[in-house]
Amino acid sequence: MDTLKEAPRDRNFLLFFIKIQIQMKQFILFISTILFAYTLTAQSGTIRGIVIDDDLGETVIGANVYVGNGAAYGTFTDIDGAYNLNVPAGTHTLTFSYTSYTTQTINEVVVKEGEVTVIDIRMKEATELIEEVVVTAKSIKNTESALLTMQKKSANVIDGVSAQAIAKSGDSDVGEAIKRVTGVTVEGGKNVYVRGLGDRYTKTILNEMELPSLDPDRNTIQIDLFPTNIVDNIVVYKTFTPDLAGDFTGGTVDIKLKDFPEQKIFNISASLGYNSVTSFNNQFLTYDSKSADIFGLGADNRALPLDKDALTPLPVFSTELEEQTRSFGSNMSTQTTSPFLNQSYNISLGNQINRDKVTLGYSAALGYKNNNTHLEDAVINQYWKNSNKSINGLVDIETDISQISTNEVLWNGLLNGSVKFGNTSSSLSLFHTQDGIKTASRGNTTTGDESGTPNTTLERHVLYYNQRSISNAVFDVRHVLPKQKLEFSFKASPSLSLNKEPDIRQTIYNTEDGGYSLNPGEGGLVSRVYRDLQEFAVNGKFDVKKEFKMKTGEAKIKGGAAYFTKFRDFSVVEYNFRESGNDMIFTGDPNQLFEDKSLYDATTNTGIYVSGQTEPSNTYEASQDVLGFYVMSEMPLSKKIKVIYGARAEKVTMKYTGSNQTGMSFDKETVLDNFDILPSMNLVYNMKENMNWRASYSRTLVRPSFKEKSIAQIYDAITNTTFIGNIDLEQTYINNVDLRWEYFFNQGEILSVSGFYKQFQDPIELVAYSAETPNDLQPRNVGDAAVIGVELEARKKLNFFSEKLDGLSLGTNISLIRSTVEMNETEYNARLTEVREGETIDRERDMQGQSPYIVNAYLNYSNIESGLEANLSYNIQGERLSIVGISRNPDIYESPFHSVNFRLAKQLGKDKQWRVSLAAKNLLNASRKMTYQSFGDVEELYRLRKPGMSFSLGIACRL
Amino acid sequence: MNKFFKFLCFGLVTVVVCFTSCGEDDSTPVVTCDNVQCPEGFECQVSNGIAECFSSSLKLVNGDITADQTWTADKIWVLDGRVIVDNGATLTIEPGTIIKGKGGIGSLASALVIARGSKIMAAGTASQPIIFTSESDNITFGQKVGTNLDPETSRGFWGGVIILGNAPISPKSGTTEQIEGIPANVLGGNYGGNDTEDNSGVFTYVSIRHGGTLIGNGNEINGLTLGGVGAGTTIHHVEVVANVDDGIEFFGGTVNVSNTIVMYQGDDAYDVDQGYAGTLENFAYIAGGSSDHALEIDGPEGSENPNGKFTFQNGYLIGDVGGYADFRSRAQGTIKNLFFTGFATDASVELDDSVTSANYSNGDLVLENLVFDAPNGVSIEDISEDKSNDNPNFDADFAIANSVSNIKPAANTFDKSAFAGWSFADNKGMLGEF
Repeated sequence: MDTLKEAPRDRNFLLFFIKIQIQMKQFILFISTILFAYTLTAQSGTIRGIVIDDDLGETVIGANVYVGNGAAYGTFTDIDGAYNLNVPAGTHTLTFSYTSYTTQTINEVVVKEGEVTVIDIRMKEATELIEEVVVTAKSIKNTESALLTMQKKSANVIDGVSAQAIAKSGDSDVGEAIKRVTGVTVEGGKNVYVRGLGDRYTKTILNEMELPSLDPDRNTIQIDLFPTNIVDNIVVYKTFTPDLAGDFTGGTVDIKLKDFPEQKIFNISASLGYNSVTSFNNQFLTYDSKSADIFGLGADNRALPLDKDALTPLPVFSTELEEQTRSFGSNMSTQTTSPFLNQSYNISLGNQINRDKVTLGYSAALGYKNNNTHLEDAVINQYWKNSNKSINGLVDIETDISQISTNEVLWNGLLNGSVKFGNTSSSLSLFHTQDGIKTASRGNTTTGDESGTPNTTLERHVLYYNQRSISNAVFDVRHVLPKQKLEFSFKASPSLSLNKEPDIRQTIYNTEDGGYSLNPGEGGLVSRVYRDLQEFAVNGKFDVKKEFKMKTGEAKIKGGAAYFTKFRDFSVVEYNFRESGNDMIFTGDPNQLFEDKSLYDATTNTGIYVSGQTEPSNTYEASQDVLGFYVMSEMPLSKKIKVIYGARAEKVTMKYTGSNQTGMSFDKETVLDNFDILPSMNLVYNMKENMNWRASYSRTLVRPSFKEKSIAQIYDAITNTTFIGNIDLEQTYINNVDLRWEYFFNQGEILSVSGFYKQFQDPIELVAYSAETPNDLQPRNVGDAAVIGVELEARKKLNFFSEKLDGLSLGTNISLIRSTVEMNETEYNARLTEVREGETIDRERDMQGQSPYIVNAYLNYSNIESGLEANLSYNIQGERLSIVGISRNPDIYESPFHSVNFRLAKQLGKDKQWRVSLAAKNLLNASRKMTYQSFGDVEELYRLRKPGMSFSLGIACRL
Repeated sequence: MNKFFKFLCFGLVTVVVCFTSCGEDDSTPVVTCDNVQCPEGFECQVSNGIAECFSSSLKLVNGDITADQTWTADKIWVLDGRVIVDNGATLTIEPGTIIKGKGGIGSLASALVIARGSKIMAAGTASQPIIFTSESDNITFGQKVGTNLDPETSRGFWGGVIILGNAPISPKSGTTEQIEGIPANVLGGNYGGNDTEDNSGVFTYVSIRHGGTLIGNGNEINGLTLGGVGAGTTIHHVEVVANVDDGIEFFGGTVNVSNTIVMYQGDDAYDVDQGYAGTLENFAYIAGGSSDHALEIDGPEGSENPNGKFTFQNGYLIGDVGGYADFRSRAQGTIKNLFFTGFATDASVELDDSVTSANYSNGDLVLENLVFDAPNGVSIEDISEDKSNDNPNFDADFAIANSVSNIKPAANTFDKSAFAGWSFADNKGMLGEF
């Protein structure tokens, strides 16, 4: 908030916050009202649930639900297909009836005083043979129900995880839950990839609205931010329908929050985690203990003391320089400490209140995590091909071994309030995430050459703090006219994301001569860098849906418009510190450089002084506006074949302000202006009950990011690479073809096989494009690419072997993918220049970032009676091309990471209100590894990180 | 159905209205001096619709020079940022001209770059040298030195001079290279080719002072960088004073250079890379307290043009805490008739690796008649060091060809009179040290 006030042009951001604050006050009032209302209703019991059309997978509006003969207690399902009945405690018979559907009666529905019994049912269309179905309440529990039905009946290829499935597996956040979806990989527990395609091709949205990512260079939001108990379901759309934004191809992951929780939720949980490398390791590095760090708000304590646009004066007896130099904080060294266990706390609550005409729902969640990570002997090496082309072995150019310690504080708050009256429902969600990452590292670098003798040895000390936040509001209103079968919905969502990297402190000493020196010509450096990014976005969406009857069945027509605008401001300022005079004798302790007696003194004109200013080629402003319209229709061609077709039109404008080092400069110039029509066609052939064939074609696109479509030149001292933006980047277009066969056997069991083919026109890859400067990386539209893949998914309960195995289920999903991309001339020629004897160079290679295979497998045990749940899972992603080599730099591949995780949870207490869980991650103690690969099966280590094994013990309490 | 289409229509209209009204205003700005901040000594004036900074005695230079241009001695030329002479243009600098670089780092660092195919005609004379210095240097017309900057410690106040050409180099891969610190998309930073007789112009009686700021990517700029400069180029009587990085660095090329003096640099005085194949003749060196090696010699880096060998001869080098010479990475060439004095007890002549050691053994690296006026008790064998330990006879061979003595032998024809009159060293009274 403080930085917003300082900058006048951020007035809009401020207004946005004031609005949120006003809304929050109203919201608190609203919550207290419903809490009060709740105490009055807690005399009898409640039956709640949702009625779904078994054929369409959609909710049934206006169905009659009653207890006994219906005289005393009856109601109709609302616009969400939901019903709510307050009945006396006891055992009841519940009946569902609706014109043209088979009446269903559920016996033995037990209702306890003050409690909610949830009965979700699927109604089938009436046939002459069956007029009524009678079942017991117990037999319809424990199903995958809504989502699987939705998946079964959906027009497009979707996969997902429902609230029920999450509850069964015991996953505590979305990041863990989504791993069970076919073709999904979760990197670092937070970033989702679908079908092995990189981040660029996957999109994560919340309640159908785009959210900015915590990481400004990523497309997707970090999904471990959402506790599972406030999530209704997670849906992964793998094929495009026109009602989705057109910029994805791997998948769009939609996290849907619960608007109206069926039951009162009040959960408090806490967990402690032990990591085999980090916890209690007395070599853990840290610096600067500021109290704001424990709330992820440490940036202000590290703010830039100078005017970033002014050039610092030269050391010519300058008192101004003395003042400026001494305005920086003096801490440059790492300290060791012994970190405590990782901690995580969550509170979530929610409920719904039913009145005659009005249903109110609310949920709120507050989470706090404090995690330490220590990487012992993290390696990052540099190898080159030998200058002698008859030698296949690589030359060790640089070896770097570092100790990297990170403390991350992440907290988030979410408030969601919903109201439903008559045929209208509306909700408002407020969401804030705050993240503070403090990193301290020490490393040793040795550079060498073909002769193998070290030329330079460096000792590096890096202190880094990154503060990131997202604040977001989603407002949503929906109106249904049941008679006309018409539905209108409107959503609007503003968001603000901030990413501050204040005071990145680097001290690099030369150590080759035994002592310590700062030799700038050989890599010696003292620098402090400040980076700042702000992004503001507004997303709006309006949809209309109309259903009507055709001879062959229910048909739908849907249309709408969407507008998405975002604006980014990025700046970097770098300061170097050097010595005026030659008097200092370096002890090797970086703090020495900022001691009072070391710093520049204007009277003697000697000492360490500051030099620097904003680097204009690193600084930019950019905006993107996307306006979309669509029309689509879903209609049954026959009883068995359904078609969904339509098109989306998107108009995009990107504007850019910034300058680069070749004298190019832009001032709010339009750099991308496209109008695209994206057609989509999906066919579903319902061959027999529970078996579908699907085919689809669609055209989608992917846009370059702000950073990519720029003329910025951003040097990263840590990887020694310079990112060079490419203002000429074009959108990537993708033609997608999908085929799928799926078979839903017993409840919750599925077998499906899919094939997909994606043809990429102008895909964007980050490439080293010049053989002369292999460390300069630029995003480029490379030659055309194609991806072809097969996916298999199976979920099976194991009780068919033996009754004893009841509750055990096995699931796996496997994706096999082949990708090819045509090399551009520069790359091909540069490869030819360094060809080894006997090596042939193809014109094609793997697509960057694409894994050839992904396997997820899990074994689940769940026993509702005893409250015991266990889950063993295995995930792996095949070796993929990570950095494309050029000149004497070989290709770099990321090795597979065998991830084996185990989780055990047991519910305790009379009403099972306690839950104790034990989780173990990375049981194989696997390492994350990237290697250089070159002709003749030559492989050398590029990067190695050993995350260690993690164990956590959690306790949760349901009030 | 009717209602629905009305609604859809309404939605469409709303969006189209927003769509058309979201355009930008395209008003032409009126040029004024309101937002123009001129450097000290300049005033803003509007002429022909352009706001410019004017001064009667100073001339600001920024951006690229793509057509022939002359810098006259009646003005002090102020480099504001990186100035690249490209597109085959010739930059002529009159004798006696003073050029001052503004402060700034990274892409804002002031530097003069002569791109491949372009020329510099900087023919100074002993009485009218051309001087490159910092903006904060108080030197003015008719003077050869300023008085306000410390000669030894005032380093890194601006960039430096880079001359690039088409002569052969041996870079990591291929036959061309981008000069360090300039991103690949700046085409003017490219050098190397196959023209051994390439001509980048004339560069004589030039003194470069107080430079070496960070130019980009953690790279400091050398006083004078010669990348792939051909033998058709005339370079002699050049001085580099108080530069952060190296004094003069040769990246390949075939140019012959003579009568150079380097003082008080932060890294190495004379640096050879990428198979430089010319001759450096009659050169001097005065080390400062943060100077590293007098000579740092690397060999060819790649498989192209691997045979380039340089010759350094007739030099007088005054040391401080840094070493004598460091030979590494396939170093090859000849160094002879040098006199070293003032170096520390532990200073050494090092062969860093096996390949370089082998080059010495088989005669690709020749070190002869190097005379060391070493501190008492230091023998010739103490000076030589083969770090690879591959050649057990190195100390003995080195001792035969070279010696410890406090007398410069006659075979070393070093002549300090080449620096008389025009150089900073002479005007500060330091030639007496030789």
